[in-house]
Amino acid sequence: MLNLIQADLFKWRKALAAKMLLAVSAACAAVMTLLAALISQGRIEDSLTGIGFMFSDINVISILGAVAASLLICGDFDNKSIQDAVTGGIGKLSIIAGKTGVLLFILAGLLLPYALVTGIALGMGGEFNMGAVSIGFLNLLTSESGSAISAAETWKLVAVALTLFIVYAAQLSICVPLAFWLKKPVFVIAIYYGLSILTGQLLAMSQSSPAFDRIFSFTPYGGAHVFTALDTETGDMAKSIAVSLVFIALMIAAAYGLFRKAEIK
Amino acid sequence: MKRYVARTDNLTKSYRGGYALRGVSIALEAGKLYGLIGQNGAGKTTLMRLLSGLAFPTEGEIELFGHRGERALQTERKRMGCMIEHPGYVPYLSAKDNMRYHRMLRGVPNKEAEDELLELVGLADAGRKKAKNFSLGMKQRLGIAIALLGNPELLILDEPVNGLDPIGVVEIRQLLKKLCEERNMTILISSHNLPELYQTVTDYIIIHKGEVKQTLTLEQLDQNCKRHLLIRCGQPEKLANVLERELMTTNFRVMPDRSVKLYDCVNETERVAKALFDNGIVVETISVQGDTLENYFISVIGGERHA
Repeated sequence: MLNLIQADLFKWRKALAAKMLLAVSAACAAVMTLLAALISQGRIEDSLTGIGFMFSDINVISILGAVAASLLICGDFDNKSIQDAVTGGIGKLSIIAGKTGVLLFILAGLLLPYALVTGIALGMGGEFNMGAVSIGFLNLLTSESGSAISAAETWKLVAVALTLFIVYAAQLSICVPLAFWLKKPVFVIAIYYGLSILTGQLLAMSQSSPAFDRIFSFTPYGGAHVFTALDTETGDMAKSIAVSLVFIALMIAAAYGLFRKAEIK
Repeated sequence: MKRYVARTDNLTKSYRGGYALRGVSIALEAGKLYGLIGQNGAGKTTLMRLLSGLAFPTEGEIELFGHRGERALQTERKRMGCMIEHPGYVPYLSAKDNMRYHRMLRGVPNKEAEDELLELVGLADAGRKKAKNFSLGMKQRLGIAIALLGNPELLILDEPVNGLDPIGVVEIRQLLKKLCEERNMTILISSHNLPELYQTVTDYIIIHKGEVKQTLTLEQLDQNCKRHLLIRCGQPEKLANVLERELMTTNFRVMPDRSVKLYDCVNETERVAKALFDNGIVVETISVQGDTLENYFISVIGGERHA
């Protein structure tokens, strides 16, 4: 499996798409922060929070992450790298686990601009506001804005960033079985983006139904997982990480179930 | 006891009621170069896909290097190299980077293999050109180089000379023969180019409509394709005696169906017929036979209508 991860990272490093996705992520992180600052300063209207949300990590990663998963898995069906791995005697579970591992690395890379921009912005002590649409790093940015970050809180900020990364990775891990099943990037991206909109609605709905909220919180899409911030208790962060890791394991199992006896063209 | 690199036992693959392969039993020996001949849709690629693990048999069993069972086959496939249907490569990587990627993927530690294999297939000068900009022949060579990573003991190549220029065809032919002879590699190749196969392989597997119609060695094929007089009569023993005594030849074979193939006097039909008549042999048929590989293939799969 380590061979697969090493090989895929080598390939990803050379891909133009990888550089483009990183550039888009960095640009969106900068625009998101700028809009949050301008709204907070009253220099642009509050009604523009919808546009700000378009550049937020949760929205951008939903698209870029799905694109990355598609390129990584569907692309490898097209260029026969997966076929080569199978005919070379590499187990299908190893292939899936390897791809999931590489996807985590790629997501870490795509989220890095958001983590850095958020960290720098909070370190500078600026004011940020994006109204009710703040989720993930954008929520961290707006909820902690205006308060100085102490040295002890810096470590917590790292822990929060790490938790958010694992939650996002878990959310996107559903692209793994989708990609192994559908093998077409356009379907994977469309379905995942649709799913992210649906789970957003379900998250809003869960606030009016405690029973549903409790069930939904056992997925990385529900509960307060994407609202992890500096005031989140360590136990809650641990729960978010545990839910996310279990969800990733389930997605690997689902992908294996779909791919184990699948014929590869 | 013969050591088989790969064996199939009654291998069957069906898709929605139709058979892609039916009861295929073949055995591949070490160090031989097998040619898989068949029309489009005959089952060549399906057989290769089953051997390489890209598809699963509906019935029957596969044995690789003496091992059976799903887990064991997976392990043994590390000793195989495959290029099935089209060469697999990452389009935005150079030949060298493609080699590096696939070497890492398969966990081959030997870095030198990248340059050695590119040299071997004639791609040492490809430089930084991306694989997507390669000609069809170059892509084919890259696919073969990738299949050779890890020094496989069984190499499966589907139409390996597709798209190669005449010099490329000769080079790949020589390379395959060399691998077979020097490294005792077993190679299974499919091709539509029968004259090319004739110059390359040591053994033939003729497949038609999912069934293996015949397996034969190059010598057997030569024998079957050689020009000869085919004589049918009710007394093959007496006929043999007359051929030896009157025509002074032992260059003939009595076939299982009791016909006789005479490889001498092919252009002297009248002389042969007279000698037989003079010795009281009633000849049912006497005709000049002998095939090209194409004609032989057509006759094996069932006549002109299939050509």
